[in-house]
Amino acid sequence: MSITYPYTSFVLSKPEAGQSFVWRPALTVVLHENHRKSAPIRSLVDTGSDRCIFDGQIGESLGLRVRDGQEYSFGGVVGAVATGYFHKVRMQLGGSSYETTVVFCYELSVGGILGQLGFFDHFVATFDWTPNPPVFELERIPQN
Amino acid sequence: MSLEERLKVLKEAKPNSWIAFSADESKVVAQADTYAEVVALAQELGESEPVVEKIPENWLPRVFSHCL
Repeated sequence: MSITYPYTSFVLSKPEAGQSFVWRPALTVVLHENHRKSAPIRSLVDTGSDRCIFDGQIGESLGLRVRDGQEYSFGGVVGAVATGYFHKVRMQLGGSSYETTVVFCYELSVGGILGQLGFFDHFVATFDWTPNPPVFELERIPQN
Repeated sequence: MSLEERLKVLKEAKPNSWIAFSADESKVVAQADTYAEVVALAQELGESEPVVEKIPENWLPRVFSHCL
């Protein structure tokens, strides 16, 4: 069964083509660890990200010693390099829940990013800009 | 919350802070400098499952793929 989600609006500091906002694909996810769970976290769906990455503060709230995790250095498209830390968590998206390894990082500009490993390897995703706002559809891959 | 209301909330929020919406996202229930603070504030106000969003330093257009 697939679920369709509308894109989410985000502000632009300077209007582009007369529009003061942009549409981005985003979901709320809940992380579970140590019998604790996070609040639903607004997370961007990012096909260009190799990993799922969340703000380090969220990891701490789950009782994790974030900086004790295996280090993960990663870069953005403009060359900046950041350090994150791997941790295993249970990720919950709506009715789906599974264990995966995510990265916690203290240098993100968003609460969470849903990338290839940990998200796109669990869902078939289809993006559709035909409606307004745009939508994306997710279907769980059964074996993952 | 309408599109216009959401954009107003985001635009007026303190940079590098956290904001908590009600579970149905119809209203803002708390704002704070840290994730732990915003969740605690929201829960004190009776919102057990707030939707939490991080406010960035600025609202520039983004190329994500590991946005920093």
